[in-house]
Amino acid sequence: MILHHFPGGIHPNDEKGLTAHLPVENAPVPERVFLPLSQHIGAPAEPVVKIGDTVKVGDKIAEARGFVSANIHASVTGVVRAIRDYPNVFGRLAPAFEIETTDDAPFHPKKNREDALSLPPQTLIPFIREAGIVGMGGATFPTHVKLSPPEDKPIDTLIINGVECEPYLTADHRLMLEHPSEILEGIVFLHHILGARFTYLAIEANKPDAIKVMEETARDTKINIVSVPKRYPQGAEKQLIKTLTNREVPTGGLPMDVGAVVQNVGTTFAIREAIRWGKPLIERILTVTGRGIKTPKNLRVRLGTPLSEILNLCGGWKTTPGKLIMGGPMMGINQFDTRVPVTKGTSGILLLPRDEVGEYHPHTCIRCGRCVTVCPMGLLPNFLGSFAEFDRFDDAARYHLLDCIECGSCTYICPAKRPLVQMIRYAKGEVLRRRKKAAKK
Amino acid sequence: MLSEIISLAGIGLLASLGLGIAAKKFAVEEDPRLEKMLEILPGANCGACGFAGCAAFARAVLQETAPPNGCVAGGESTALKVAKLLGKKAEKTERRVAYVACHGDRSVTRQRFIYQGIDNCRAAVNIGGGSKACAFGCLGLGSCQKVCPFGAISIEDDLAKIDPEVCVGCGLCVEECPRDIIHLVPAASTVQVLCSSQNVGKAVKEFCDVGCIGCRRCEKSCPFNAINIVNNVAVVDPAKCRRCGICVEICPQNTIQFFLPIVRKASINSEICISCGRCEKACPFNAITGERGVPYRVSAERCKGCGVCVEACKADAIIMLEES
Repeated sequence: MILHHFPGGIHPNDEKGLTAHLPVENAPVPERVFLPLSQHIGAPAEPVVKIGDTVKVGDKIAEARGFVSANIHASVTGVVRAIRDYPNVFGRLAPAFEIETTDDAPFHPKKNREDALSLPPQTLIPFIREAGIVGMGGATFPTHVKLSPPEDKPIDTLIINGVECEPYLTADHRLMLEHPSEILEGIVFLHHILGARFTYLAIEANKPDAIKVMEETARDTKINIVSVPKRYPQGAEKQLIKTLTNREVPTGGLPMDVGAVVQNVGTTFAIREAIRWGKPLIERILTVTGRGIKTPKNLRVRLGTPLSEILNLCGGWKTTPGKLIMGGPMMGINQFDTRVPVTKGTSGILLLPRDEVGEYHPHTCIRCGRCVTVCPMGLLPNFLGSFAEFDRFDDAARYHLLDCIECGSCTYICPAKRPLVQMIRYAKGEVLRRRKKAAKK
Repeated sequence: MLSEIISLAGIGLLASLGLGIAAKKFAVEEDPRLEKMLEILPGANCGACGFAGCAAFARAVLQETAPPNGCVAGGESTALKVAKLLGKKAEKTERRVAYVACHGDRSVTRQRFIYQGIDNCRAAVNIGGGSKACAFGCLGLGSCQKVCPFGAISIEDDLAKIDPEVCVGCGLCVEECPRDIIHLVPAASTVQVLCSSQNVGKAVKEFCDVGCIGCRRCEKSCPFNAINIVNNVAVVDPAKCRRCGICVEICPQNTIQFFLPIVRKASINSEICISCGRCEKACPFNAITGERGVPYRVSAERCKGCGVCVEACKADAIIMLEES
């Protein structure tokens, strides 16, 4: 098929060789799990169990509040010890369940919906909502919302995202190698729900083995397995839609505005588990990698496992610690507290040794324009950065500040070492804050 | 040559005539007091009055939609001048100043990580809540310094400091601070708690050497019940505080400090004193002694300047003397 081209992009070293060959291991169930009430975009969930209650693995412990929200389930069998403030991924304190494990048994499905495909499409969405599934690529947007587009926005294209363009991460790669038929079943369920005309599974060209396995599995179906060129951020939603369909999501819009829905392969796998077995989202696959860790691994981890447990399991730091990142090196979030738990959006844990972490002091912009050439959204990061620096938020908004996807390409390429994403993120916050304030007046 | 001079001069004459007529015909009627008012106002356009700038405020005052004492930055003297210009009586304004409720500079606080981003507190808190270990401490990247139109704020060793003499109390920094640790207080209040940490004592000690640990020694020692521990941090009630400074002396962390160092001492006028002994009884510090029939005396060493005796004296014989 003909592939199209999104503007910009960068070619960082992908470093996937550290873990790409390692099969997924099951991490032991921790003694205690910490499950934040907010592991998704939208309103935090509302607890439905009390302190002291005994919960079984897979029991709903917090219910979605509002449409854009997600249920939370117990990831272990045990006793709810507390609902208290606990460090979260963003370095702040947020309410979380503390569950003490009494039994490390895995989830046992109660039903087997072999006939799911004979059910009307709309009846499958509640199974997904009930299971608390969110986008597992890292954005954590509730999946049932994505699958319920308004009637005036028909969907004709379903894209399954197996690109995994973030350097170092191999969780999706391993999932495709080890569970191709389950992913396929998930795609069939999604296709059944959306009734899309075109279905694509996009995989980056640096994973030939995954492409081969998925092609073999999907041989008798109408699913197009597409090998997309290796370029960061190929796996970003809007860029992937452009590559496959040549459609551009309008400014401020969503993929559904151009008739597309994009789902990560991890999410697709979780959807299959939810529809077929009624299994809620209680565990996920993540990559523990980087030259700072003794034994890099791909792990299947119960949600709520603290980082410290995972680091211990992988032998801990090999050298002087530099950076501990939750997610990949481009879009991940730096951590400085190992009590932080794994949540629904944790795709990897990256440990960089001290000598791989540079120390930079930002200079003034030298106007080389390299950030402009790499921006995959076709923005002008140089201007956005300077506007943010001098609090010219109205100008920044006119330059489509809010369309920035914060992929980090501009910061990566900047020879003056300007923290452009930080500036843009700051300006975004200020623009939204000012709008809210103006709306109040 | 001559024709050029004549034609150019003619064009000039015509244009000036046109401009002169336009200036008379289309002149905008302005209140003559507006210009005078703008001379009185500070001209910093800080916006603390709630209007878009000094000119907008001046127009609002002339239209009587804003009070004459509405200029926060100008304070009492400006309010008096504005009122005089309008022929009105100025209501008394209370001068307010801002202070930073944190005094943990680089040398006494711990960092959680090395911050390499831009010098902007609001941007820095987006990254893990800021690099300072204490989630209630001043980040010291100078966002407040940038918004201050009066140059009252300086950053020393990662800590913002506000000069109370320069500060006019416009409140721009209060709004800018992402940690919400800058407060506006009446300039007359002298005792400040330089910490905002709601952490328990043990956590405070872990993060900072000079934070309020909530030990309650100030609360217990205050003779006027003016200081209380709320959410693990001492809070002074300016209405009750008599600025005796007992809490300043007793605080083990040096967190409570005098704001504007004014020393006040009671002084008894021996000619008026009727030697009734009421002041002796009232003094919480045993600083007044005397016998019936002889004028009472104040021990300058013991007097804390609380002024309780002034209220107790029936003969109005006691006044407070200020020495800077």
